[in-house]
Parts: sequence; structure tokens; C-alpha cells
Amino acid sequence: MRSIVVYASLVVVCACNTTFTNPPPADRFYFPTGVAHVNVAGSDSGVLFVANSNWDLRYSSGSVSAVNLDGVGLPAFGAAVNGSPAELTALGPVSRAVITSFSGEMGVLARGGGKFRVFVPSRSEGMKLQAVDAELDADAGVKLSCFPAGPGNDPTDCATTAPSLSPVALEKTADGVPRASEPYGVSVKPRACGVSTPCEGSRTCVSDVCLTPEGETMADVYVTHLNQVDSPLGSLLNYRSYLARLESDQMTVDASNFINIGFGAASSAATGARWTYVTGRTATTPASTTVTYGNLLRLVDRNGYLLTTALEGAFTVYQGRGVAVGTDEKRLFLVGQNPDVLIVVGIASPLSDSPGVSLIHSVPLPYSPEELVVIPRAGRGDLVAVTCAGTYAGEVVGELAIYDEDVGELVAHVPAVGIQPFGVAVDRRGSGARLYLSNFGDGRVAVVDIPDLARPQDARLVAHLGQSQLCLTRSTQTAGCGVTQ
Amino acid sequence: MNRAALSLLLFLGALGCGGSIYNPPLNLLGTHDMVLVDELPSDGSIATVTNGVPNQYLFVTSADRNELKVMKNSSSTQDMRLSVKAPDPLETLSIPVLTRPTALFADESLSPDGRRVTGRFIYAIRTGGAELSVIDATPAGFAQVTKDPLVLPAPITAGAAWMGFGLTSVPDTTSVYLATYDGANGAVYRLTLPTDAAHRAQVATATPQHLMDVGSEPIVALAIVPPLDGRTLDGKPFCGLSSKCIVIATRSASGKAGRTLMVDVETLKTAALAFPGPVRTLRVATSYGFLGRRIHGLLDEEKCDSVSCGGALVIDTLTGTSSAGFPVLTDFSGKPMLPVVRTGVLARDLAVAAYHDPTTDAGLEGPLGIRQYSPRDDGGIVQGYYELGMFSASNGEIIVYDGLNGVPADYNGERTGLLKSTTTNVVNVVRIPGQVSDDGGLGFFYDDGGAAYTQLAMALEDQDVPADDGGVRPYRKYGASVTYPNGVPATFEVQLGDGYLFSQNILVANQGTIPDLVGLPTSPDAGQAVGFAPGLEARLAVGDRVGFSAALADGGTEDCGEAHVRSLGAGTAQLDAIPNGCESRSLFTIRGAGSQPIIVSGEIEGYIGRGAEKEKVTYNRRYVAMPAGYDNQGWPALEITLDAMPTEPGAYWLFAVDGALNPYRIQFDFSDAAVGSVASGCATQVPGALTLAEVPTNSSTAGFSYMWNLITLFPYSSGIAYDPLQYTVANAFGSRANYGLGAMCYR
Repeated sequence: MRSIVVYASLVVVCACNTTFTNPPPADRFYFPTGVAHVNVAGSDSGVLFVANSNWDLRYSSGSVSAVNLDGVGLPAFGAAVNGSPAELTALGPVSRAVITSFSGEMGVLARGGGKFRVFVPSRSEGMKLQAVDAELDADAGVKLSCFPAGPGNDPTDCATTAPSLSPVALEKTADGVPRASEPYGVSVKPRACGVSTPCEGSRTCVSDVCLTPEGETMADVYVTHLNQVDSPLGSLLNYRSYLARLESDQMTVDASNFINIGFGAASSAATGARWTYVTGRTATTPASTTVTYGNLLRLVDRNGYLLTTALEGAFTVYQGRGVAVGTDEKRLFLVGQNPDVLIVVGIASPLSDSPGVSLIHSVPLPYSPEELVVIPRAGRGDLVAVTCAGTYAGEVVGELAIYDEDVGELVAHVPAVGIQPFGVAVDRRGSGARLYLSNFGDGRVAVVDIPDLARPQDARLVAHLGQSQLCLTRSTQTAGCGVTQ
Repeated sequence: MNRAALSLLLFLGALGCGGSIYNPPLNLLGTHDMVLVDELPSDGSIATVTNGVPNQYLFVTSADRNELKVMKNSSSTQDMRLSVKAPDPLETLSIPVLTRPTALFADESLSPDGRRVTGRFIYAIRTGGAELSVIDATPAGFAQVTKDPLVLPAPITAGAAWMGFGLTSVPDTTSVYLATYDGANGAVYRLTLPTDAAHRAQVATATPQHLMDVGSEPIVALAIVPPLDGRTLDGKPFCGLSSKCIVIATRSASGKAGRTLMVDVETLKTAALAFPGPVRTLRVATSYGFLGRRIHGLLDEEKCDSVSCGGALVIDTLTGTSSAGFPVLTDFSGKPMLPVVRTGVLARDLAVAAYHDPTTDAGLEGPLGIRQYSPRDDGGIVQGYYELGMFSASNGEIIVYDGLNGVPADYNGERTGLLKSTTTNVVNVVRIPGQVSDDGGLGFFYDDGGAAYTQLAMALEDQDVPADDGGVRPYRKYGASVTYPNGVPATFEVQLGDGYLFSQNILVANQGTIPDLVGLPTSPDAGQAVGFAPGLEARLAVGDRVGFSAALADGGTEDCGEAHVRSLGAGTAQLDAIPNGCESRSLFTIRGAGSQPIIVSGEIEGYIGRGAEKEKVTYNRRYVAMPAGYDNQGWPALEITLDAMPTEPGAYWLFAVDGALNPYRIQFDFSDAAVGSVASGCATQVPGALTLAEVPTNSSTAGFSYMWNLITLFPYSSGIAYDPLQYTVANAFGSRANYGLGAMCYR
């Protein structure tokens, strides 16, 4: 109870300030959640973005770190691991932008010309969706700024000016909706266009993609939220959930940005050519102790059309977590928790008004799976890498499980990647791939190499990036914290 | 002192001090697979009920802890199985094995009567890992034979082990067959391992023998095929008594394709199994007299990216050809078996159990029996099966089918019949149109009986409905009588075969609409004809009425007139004329007329047949599910002897069929403590691995007693459920799913 009271007090304090005087230090990650990797011309390893959630509110805010991976001393890709993986505690020059605490997933948009926009929803201080712009230069490093621009006293404070997904103006209406509570998942999809589907406003359609007047790629940004909302606000009645859709070049929020997706909160989202696939969480109402299963998988299109799949009737799973679209959008990979399972869903006619959605395969996963990433392979089925938090009774058993569509089974387990791996990002390297896993529990990023995607069984942990946070979050007598045991 | 002996002493000590049994929790985490093994006699024999204990130990993976746990099935306490203790009796025994064991198999053989027997070793693998743990499964061992798992040349995808056929003693060597996939090629290896104590050290240095490559496809399932005398391929012996054979299933194109092959591992000659698509799980049935003849498989739903491609199917491997392989089992009706499916859900694991000759091992329970109900509320009977298949499903159910006859098992065994409803006048009525329009009702396109109709209740009489005929007459016959307002009496005879029809209404209409020929599109371009799907012309006759409707300006349609069929062709009917007013015709419907104006149709069946007064309309179709013991061959699904019909077009008789089809499904429910759960948590979860076996349930001075049990793993709640099949009873799930009375859940 003590910690809850302390956290609540901190929230109040933080909410009263418009600037964040004590953000997480730039030289480390802190309760990292979302992670994204981008390649940049002239860089061998590219840049890694990490959302630091500041989960215990040690600092005044969360942050987004941008790490130039060329400067951290990563082992050569595919090199053999002799003994333990490299512990790369020095991150080199790290760019940092401030976001609110309790960040969730991370989405990234390649705007063109070496410019990126990183989207991170947070579950505190106004339920914000933050957008951090990054300009990458192999020589000059990573320059971060905010969109919309941060306040004058701190242009890297992306939290203060970020739009809220639960705006007061909407909360105060008679029915108190639409609004989002605890935004968490994010999916970014460049908007396609054509003769019959022109881009709106001053945007132009070039090579079937909408560009902003500045010539940058424009995208739709879909955000899920973990809690249902009541209507009116505070009534505990009429629960429903929304999927927020923002435009990457606008980042403004009003009622038109919300798509009512019905009863049952959402978890993650992945966007295909037309539909956004939204996983669901178990929904309960305070008035009932009966567990009500949420919608395990819903389909939502940009215009607000909603399709429910009733998959929860076909597969008894407590809640859906990460979701990813397979190559050619013929299959969808969905992580379920309790039971811990990877569910493979067949998608027929994904561009139609009513795509066929069918459960076609499932594979048990290690304990407590979270997020996943699809790794396409030329001439082969996809690989799907799943982070499994794996903490049980205090044991550190976090691992990366790899599913091979060709075999129909998990074909590799990379054990002991760290404590509570959560987000996963992939950097394709020729016929192989390097994966980055955010270890929420120990504050590091695990680096896993798959030298040859045809041999996923060779996947191995090659390094950890960043200092362990255990000396901060646990007793100072924790091993490695410099205090005699 | 070995661990087992120490445990026993401590266990007995605990009994002496406290008089109660402490059964520590298993602390399972990751129950992905299990294997039953016998307690071997000390004299080196295979286990029998008089020498050793068949199926005494259940080994279970605790994958997330990289270990195995062991349950001992027999106990001095009724239905209370005990976890095998560690040297510290407060803890359960942990057998450390390779990282994340996800599959187990044992040294197996068959006794001459077809009973599965096991040897000294079991094996643990992790799909996708190139390691094999060899575990001593005897109580004196209960540990990995080698310090570290054996390393294979490539990741293992499936495995099985075989000691030989017809053994009376446990051999000193065993053969382990392992399928591997290195990312490019699938292969089969064989490890020959010494199992006797004197040569155990050689296990660590055993070298896998490469047997065969299967190309670029991974092998996803592998099973041993016991020798079968008389099995032939192209008329020549194949995998007979002197052969060593396996069956493998491969996967390609991400599950959209794959092969299933029986392989003689000595000659490497192969034969295909004629599954209609890729298979992801294989089980070989060992029914007495048919050892290894039938091979059951779970079809891979990924073939068509839909669960509709899945289900359980059985191959009969007695006689095959190189060109066609071994065929799909012929079922009750003499036709190839249809896949047993559970609509809309994903099959997970498959278990097959078989009757064996109880006379050679009389202490066992013998025939494989499951509790069925006939009628539903009579407490049930234990129905014996020669071969029973079950598969677990993603919605929590376990689906049961008759593996010998290739049909879903029927849960309650109720007889099909006509519903004698007295609470509604919707069914069991004759309706005669009153305000007759040109078409006999409100519109040509409907069998509506008119707006101002006369409705008569029909009298239903049982004509030949034996209460219990022992299965000799698998049908019921009724008489339905009514007297029309004009004083004309009519009696229809309705005969229903068991197992064919789901509950539905059957419509017998004078000049009724013909299913699938209602509201079809047409246009003036069709000329003096109408078109439809080829084959439907078989339902039509010259003289049938063809009604048209024309498009209206507001987007609607209205009847514009009718013509008659003059001649028929494939997918087309030529008409005698096009009625005036139908120049803009857009839709048409055909009604019966001419010499056979009475149309019979079903809500679910669709078109059933047509006839005239005093004629019989006979309908044959494939069964849906068969009550056990009823042989219905030669009986139609439905036969109606027509009598006088009202003269008004559109008049109809309406019967309601109570199909009583309840495909047998088991669903555990441990939420009610009264049923005997010892641990919560198995409930409301998805079942995974299944085993059907006779397990010892308790011990006494007279020895052990055995009972057929369904053992189910719940990999997500990490529980083990035992369900004695003969006690399975109906519950609140609509009498179609059951929980096990006396079923136990261990965690």
C-alpha cells in the first residue's frame, strides 16, 4: 500500500508541473517499453529508439532515447558469442526527449529524407500520444524535437504539448465520450492513395502514398487503450472502448478521432492494407465479478467500420496482446495471455468489406508472452519472434521464442535475455536479422542475432545495451551493485 | 539407499505419525506433453496386471522449469493419485532435462494381444532443439541417463521409440526414431540405445544413424507403425510382420501442403496415406486383430487458411497401391469417412485408444467404454468401442468419435423422431390457403399458405417405434392424419432413420417452391428460357411452373406472370412462353407441377424430393452421427408416403424432426467442488495433450483395479485432469458436453 500512495502523490505533483525537471538520465534506459529500430544512410547499425516508461516514478517523466548504435561497440553481426553476451553499459551520446511516464508501445514513421517520427502513447498525465521527430545524420548524430513543437523553455519536452486522448473538452460533455483511458498500443501506417482514393486537403498522392505539403510521408496513427471508459464520466455505466486515429501530420484530437469499437478494452493494433487488427483485453465492470471476455480480435478501418470476429468463442483465451500482420496479409499472428499462446489467423480478402477471419493454428508459448515482430523471408514462410516476460516466482527466465511458419512450431528459444522482455524491433541484415528487446524489468536492451534466417535455431543473445537498473529498483544489496552480499 | 526407497520410508513414516497422506502440489509450469509408462517387474518381463503395474506412472513436462514431474496412478486411497516425492518428501520429484521439454515419448511395444507396453526409457525433446534427453523411467532411476542431453545433427521436430513387437521381456536395446530439420532438409535418424544397466554408459556415445531425407520439408509428425500381417502395397507384402515401419507427415508451403508417408525403415520403401491434405498429428490405432491397421491424423487447418479444412480422419492401411496410396477408411455407409470436425474451432491434440483382448490380461478393464445415454435421463450405459478417437479443441471441448466406423460418437443415443409439439401450432399442422392468389399464396416466391388460411392440427401416431429394439430397427415410423374441410381424409406415413437429420422442419407442399430455384436472377436476354446451376435440372419436370417478377422503378419487384417448363437441359429450362408484362423480368422462381407436384424440403436439408399422391418420397444422405450399436445400413434418412393433398396450390404439411443428434463432446468443469476436484485451475482453459488409457486407480490386497481414463493436460493452467470415462455425466452445457463425475485435477 505504501508504494501505491507514494506513486499517487507523485502523479499529482507531476500533473501540476508543465516542465519536467528531473527526467530519466540520458545514459541509461529506465523501465523500457516500446522500441524501434531504423536504418540511416552511412550508419552500419542504425539508430535505436527506446521509450523509457519511468514505471516507479523515480523521475519526473519518461523519455525517448535515441541511440546511435554505431557508437556502442556492438559485436559484429553474426559473430560467435564466446562466453557471456557483451555487456555494453556505455551508450555513447544519447539523444533524449521527454514524454510522460508509463509509456506503452512505440511506432515509427519514415517520413523520408532521413527524417522519422516516433509515436509513443503514455498512460499517465493526461493520457497523451507523444510524437518525437528525429533527424538522423551519421556524422552529426540524432537530433530530436517534438511534434507539435515543445515549449519554449524545453523544445525536447514532447509531453507538454502532446495531444491528450482524454481531452477535458470531451470529458465534460454530457455523455463524457469519446475519450481514451490508458493509451497503450500504437500502429502507424502510411496512408495509401489512388485515383479513387485521393489524399485529403493539401496532401498529394505520389507513388500511391499520401505526402504532406512538405513532401513527407503521411500516415494514420492508431492508438489503443487499456481501459474501457464509462459514459457519462464517473457513472460506471455504458462501458465501451475506442480506437483513436490521428493523422501523423496533424496530431490534433477531437471527437472525430475516435472510433467506437464497443465493449471490451483493446491491447495492441496492427494495420494492414485496409483494416487495422485490434486485439482485446478481458473486460469487467465494477458491478460484476463475472469475467466477461472481451473481443479477442476486432477489425477497424480508417472510416470507422468495425467488424467483430468472435474468435474468443473459438479459442478460449483471457486476453490478446501483441499482434502483427504476416507477409501479404494472408495471415495474422496474435499473442494471447492466459493461455499463453501464439494464435495464427487466416485472413481472406483483406481489402474487402468483410474479410474472412479464421483460426488456423496455435502454438503454446513460454510464460507470459507480450509483443512480437514478423520477419519475412524470401521464398519461405515468416518467422515470428515473441518476447516472453517469463518471470515466475522471482525467477528470471525471460526469453525470446521464435516461430517458424515453415515448421509450424517454435523452432528457437533464446533464454535468459533479461528480466521481462517486452518490446521487440528488428534490423534486417542481409539474409539475417538483429533483434532488439527492451527488458522492462532490468532496464537493458537485449540484442539477439539470427545470422541466417533459414536457420533460426542459431539465434543467440549477443549483447545487452545499457546499465542494469536493478541497483536502483531493488535493494542496494543486489548482486553487482557494489554492496557486499 | 536410492531415492525411491528413501521416499518410501519417509512416506510410510509420515503415515505412521499422522495417519494422513500429504500430497504436495506438483508445481507444474508448462504441461505440454505426457507419457504413461508401466512399472516393470523385477524379473525383466514386460508388465502385466499380475506382474508389474501397467500404466503406473505418468510423466509430465514442466516446460517452463526445464523438468519433468511424475504422478503415480495407483494409490491406497481411491482416486487420489500421488505425485512421486523427492528425497525430501515435502517436495515432489523433479527430473531435470533439456531446456523447455515440449514433447515426450516412451520405449513402446505391443503385447501380442495389442496392449501397449513400455520399457525402461522415456525421451524428452523440444521441438526445434537439437537435443534429446534420455530418462530412466524406472523408480530406481527417475533421472536423466546422461548428465547432459544427447546432441543431434539438427533440430528435432518429432520422435518415437520402439522396442519390437510381441515382447515378453524388456529388450536390452531400443530404437529411437527422430525427425530433424536443419532449415533446408528434413531427415529421419535412428538411435540404437542400450537400456540394460550394464551398458548404460554407452548411451552418451550413441551415434545417430541417418535413415532418410525427405527433401526440403520438415517432418511435423512421426509415429511407429506396428507390423500388420497381410498388409499389401500393389498386391505385395508391405510393412508386414517382419518389417520395421514408421509413418511421417511433412509440411510445406507454410502448412498449405504436405505428405503423409508410411516408411519401411529397412528398405526405405514408402507409401502414401491418402489424407486429403497436410496432417499435423498422427496416431496409430492398435485394436485387437487390427494392430497398426488404422492411422488417425489431424488435418492441418492451414491448408486452406480455415478451420473448415481441419478435423480428424482415419486411413485404412490394409491394402494400398503406389499410385493412390492407402485409402481413407470406409465408414458405416460404405463410403470414405468424412473428417470429424467441430465447427469453427481448432483441433489441438489427438488420442486414440483401442480395445484389446481382455482374455489374455484379464485383470484389465477390457473393452473401452464410455458412458452414453439412451434415453438421456436414464443414468446412462457404458458403451464399449473397438476403437475410440478424441481430439481436444481450442474452445475447451474434447470431441469423441468412433475410430472403427469413422463416425462421430453420439452422446445420448436418443432415437430420432417427429416432435410431437402440443404447445405451438407452428409445426405438425396442415395449412390450406384461403385467400388464394394466382400462385397459391401471398406471392409466387413463397410457400406461405396464403393470407387467410385454414390450419389443421395433424394427429401423430407411433406406427413402429420400438422402445428398445437392441439396434435391429434403427428407424422410427409415424402416421400423420388429418381430415380436410371437404371431408377427405389423408394419412401420411413418415419413416425416419437414426443418425441422419439434425432437428428441422420438413415441408410437404402442393406445387411447392423448389429449393435453390427460388428468386434466381434472369433477364430478357435469356429469351424463352431460364438458367441455373447445372445439376438442378434433376429436381425439375416438364410442366413445372416458372414465375417471374419484374423490376419496379423504386428498386423493388413484383410478380408479373408465369410460364411452364417445356424441356430441360443442363443448367437450363426452356419455357412454353414468356408471359405478357414480364418484358423487364429480373427474377424467377420454379414451383412443382405436372405429374409430381408435391415438393418435399427441409430447413437444413434443402431439397428432399418430389412426388404425387400415394407415392413414396425417399431421401438418402450421409449420416451425421450414429448411436453406438445401431447398424443403420440400408435404411433411408427419410421416407414419406404421400396421401391426398389439398387441391389448393401452396397448401402444405409441416413436420418437425427431432434429430436427437448430440455429437459426443466432453468439457471439464471443476468449478463445482462437489464433483471431487482436488485443485482448482483446470477449469475454463484450453485442453492440450490427451491420452486415453486404462490406468490403475487404487490398490488393495487383491491387487489393482483398472479403469479407462481420459487424461488431459491443460498447458496454460498447468493442470492434469483424469476423467474416468464410464462416470462421465451430463451437465449444464446443454447436455452435449460433460464434466467428469469423479474427475480429478492435479497441479
